[in-house]
Amino acid sequence: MRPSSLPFPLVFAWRVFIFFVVVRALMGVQGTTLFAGKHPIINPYYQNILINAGIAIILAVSLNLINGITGQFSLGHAGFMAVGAYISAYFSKEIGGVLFAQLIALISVHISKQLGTLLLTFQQPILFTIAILVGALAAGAAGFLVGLPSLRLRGDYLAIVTLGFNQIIVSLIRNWKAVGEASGYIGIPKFTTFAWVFALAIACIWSIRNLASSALGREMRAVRDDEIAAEASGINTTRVKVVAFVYSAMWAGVAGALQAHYIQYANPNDFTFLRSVEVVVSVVLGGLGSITGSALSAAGLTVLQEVLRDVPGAFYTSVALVGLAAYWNFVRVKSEQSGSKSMLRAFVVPFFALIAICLCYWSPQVNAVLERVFPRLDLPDLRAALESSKGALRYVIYSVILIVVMLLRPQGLLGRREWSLAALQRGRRVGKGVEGNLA
Amino acid sequence: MDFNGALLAVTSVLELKDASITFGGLRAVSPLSFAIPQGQLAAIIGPNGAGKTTVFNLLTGVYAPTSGEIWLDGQRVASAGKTIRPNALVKRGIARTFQNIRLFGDLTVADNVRAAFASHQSYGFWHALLQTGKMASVESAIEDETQRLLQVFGLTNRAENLARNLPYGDQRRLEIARACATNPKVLLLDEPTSGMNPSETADVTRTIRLVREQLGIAVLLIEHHMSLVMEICERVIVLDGGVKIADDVPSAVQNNPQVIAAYLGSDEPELNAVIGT
Amino acid sequence: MEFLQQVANALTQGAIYALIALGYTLVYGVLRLINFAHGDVYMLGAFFGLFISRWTGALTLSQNNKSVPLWMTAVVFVGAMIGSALVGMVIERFAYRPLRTAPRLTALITAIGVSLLLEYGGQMAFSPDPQPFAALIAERNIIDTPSFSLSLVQLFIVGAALLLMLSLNFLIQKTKIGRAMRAVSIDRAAAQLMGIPTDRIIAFTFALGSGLAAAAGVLNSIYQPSIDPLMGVQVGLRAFVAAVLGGIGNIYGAVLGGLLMAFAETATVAVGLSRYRDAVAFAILILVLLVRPAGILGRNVAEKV
Repeated sequence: MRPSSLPFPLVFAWRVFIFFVVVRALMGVQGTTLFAGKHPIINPYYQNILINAGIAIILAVSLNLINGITGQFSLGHAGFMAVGAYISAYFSKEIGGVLFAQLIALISVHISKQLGTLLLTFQQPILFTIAILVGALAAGAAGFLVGLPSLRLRGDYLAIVTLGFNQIIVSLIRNWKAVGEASGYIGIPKFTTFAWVFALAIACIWSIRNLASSALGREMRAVRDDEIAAEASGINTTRVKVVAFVYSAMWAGVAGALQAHYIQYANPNDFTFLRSVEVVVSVVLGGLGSITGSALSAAGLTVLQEVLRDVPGAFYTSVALVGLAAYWNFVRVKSEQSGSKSMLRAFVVPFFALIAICLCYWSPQVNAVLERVFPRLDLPDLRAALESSKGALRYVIYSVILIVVMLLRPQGLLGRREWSLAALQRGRRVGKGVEGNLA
Repeated sequence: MDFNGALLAVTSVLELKDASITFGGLRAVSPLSFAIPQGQLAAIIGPNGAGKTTVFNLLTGVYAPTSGEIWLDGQRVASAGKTIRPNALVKRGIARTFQNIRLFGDLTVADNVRAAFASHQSYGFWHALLQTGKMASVESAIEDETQRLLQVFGLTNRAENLARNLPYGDQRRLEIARACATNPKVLLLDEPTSGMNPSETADVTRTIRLVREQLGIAVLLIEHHMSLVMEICERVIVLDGGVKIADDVPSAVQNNPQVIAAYLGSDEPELNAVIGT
Repeated sequence: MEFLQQVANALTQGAIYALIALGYTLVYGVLRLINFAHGDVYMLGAFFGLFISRWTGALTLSQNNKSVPLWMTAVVFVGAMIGSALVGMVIERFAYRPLRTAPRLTALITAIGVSLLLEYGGQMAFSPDPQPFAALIAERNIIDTPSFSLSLVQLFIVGAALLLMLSLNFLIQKTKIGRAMRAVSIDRAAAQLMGIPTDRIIAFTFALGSGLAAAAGVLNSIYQPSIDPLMGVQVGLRAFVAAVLGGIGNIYGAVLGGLLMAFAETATVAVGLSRYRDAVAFAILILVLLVRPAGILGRNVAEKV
């Protein structure tokens, strides 16, 4: 999709048109069988996962702009998300409705009654659009504030300051009476639908891809690689960093607005630095600087969280992880060109891990067999123990996945490469990259 | 005693007027004046710690002078305690390289050059976000210029390599190419041949000549390789302890007793051994 | 007197923060790594303390309101410190050492992974519910006036922390291994070329930091005798902020930061802003970093051009 030399308004209008056609097409599908109706193909359970994945994608892709592309280390994305969630929710719950009613009344009286009724039918999307914009702008303002220290602080220190801002925002919300303080903000209208999340996730990916492939993106990567050289090459590093922070924070605000209007509830505890860490994990796991990598890993981690909810899911995930680890380990050992003995050794740890996992999973059966041979053994039922601590088990496996992936693939799943359908069709995973340099 | 004094007022692109800098009571550069005319190739030499790199940092806005002024292309860019930011200075026409090569390691060679167009060939945030026609036309202009520069510096076949994977000599050439992409009037090179073997040094020497002859940019360089200085420079400024002790054509500087004293006490034959004449 | 009371409480809390902050700072010094799992090593230290006091019988004694003999207290301390030191070394060996040359963020994510593993693995192993800790030190007030009281526990905490800090200072400043640690923290590659076994020094540093964290864990558990697998999260974060505040990588900075942090917290609570405790702590941190980007005692190294 190379930009043509047509005049700007024309090109822009064309793109907006295409975008709406796509969204409309999807919503049309939604009207029939895919999402709604008596037997929707995608039932509410899966829709829930998809919406959560979409929100996670917006968060991860936008954070990638700061952490991956501009090379600044932000650990406070959930703070921006909180600002977006609370401000937009406050708007649509307390201000928007009243304001809108007054506006309609004014229009009906002074302009035309038809326009008033027409607007009334679109009340919900109009209100939600404004709420999202308000949330995004507020988050962007917060991003500007947090971005300012990035002009002075580097690396770990910047990370701590962003983390600090995150905690301060959460702490302020916990003490803000109008939004329910620490017990959470309830009664937010349910505006978020799958179509909203889908459209905004696409818009987020598209716009950040555009930025990354522009001169501004090049300047961001230059700042990441060497700030002093960037400054000496005429790059306004201040502007570049502030733009990255503000734009990224705005999308975090959008994600927050979507989440608040989806679960109709916002709790300060959902926006602590642990949530920020989750986003950073998605970005690093997908490969710093790879937009598609962030999106894929954010979606993957969301699905994983669901899968890990029950013990069989945890079992299959663990087995898959062991397989993947064995493969990566094998590839690594092979590339070091050691003898066949050490290649075999690459499978030793995964093998024992697999046995241990299976022993836990089939503990009742194994115990039954063993007790037939040694009647007095009185073995513990590991499976029952796992069932009883499912909540913790989920995080244990999640953390093991983090550690194993980081140890065996430190560059993340995709590294800095981009992944595209076109590249897949060519039979290669290595995309040529949006600016043809991500070999 | 200024070189070419009569012509300075009209044609100098870069001028220091009694600029000095003090760090916490330590005077790194005493009031120093010199002017670089358009297209001149000059060198600053001096023993280690003479303040050469500090002068570069003054000229590029890293430090503000404690006193005095700096003029660039007829405009005052720095005065006592005040300077403009390095990136704004680049826009006014000054570019530099670093003693330890500083490239954008994870960008390709071509992108290293493209990134340096930021100061004079650019488009705003919204154009980037919406990939407008303006972006396309500016990008294609940048692309043409980039290809031309890569051609001039002989890096065309390396264009898609990551900068950090280049051999040392090519890295230095790329750094100079990137500096030239900012469209400078004067280029500052900080020890362009440091850590190089003779063939790499010869290569850099060719590159510097190229910059001057094909692009018409004035060059001011800090250098320890005296043979290079004597071979290509038209003028040599000698600093010692932050004070200018000589400023003349190479052959005159070579025989200046003060310079010889600064380097070696006053033992002339040894100096000749060092500077390879 | 009210003021003195607050000072005494802040000193106690500060001593605990300082001990944990020292671990962050030591590891950061040699590896430039934020050891996110450090707060959880502190938690493990408390649990090791609990197990050892159960095993030696100290727990039963304290539950029957009998005083615990000093040797048992000593055994609990030493045992917890050794246990945590071993855990620290294992973490370093298997989670961090393979990533020495990897990008910094990678190591950080691994540290977060280890942290989550310890927290939720701890929940699976020890149950997520809070458990009572043994009163290893008699609950008796040394000074007991209506307006000011100082308990034996508080005195013990400050005393023990001071002793540990002085020994650490001696170790780092006066011994051969301390010199090696300082060398590694200044320039690892050069230290290696000088024949310093850097891997062993780094492992030792982890052991040292983890041991201090375990001591803090046991001390805190005597002070507030209820422990659970997530107890390290908040305290770890505060101690980490303390380390950064003082200048991470500088051991005196860690102690100073820990004390400052505790005093700031106590003051916040005293003026009735206890609900803003976190916000105030981080606001102080941000203000300090904006003025001194490398912390109070950290050396601000401007990058040379």
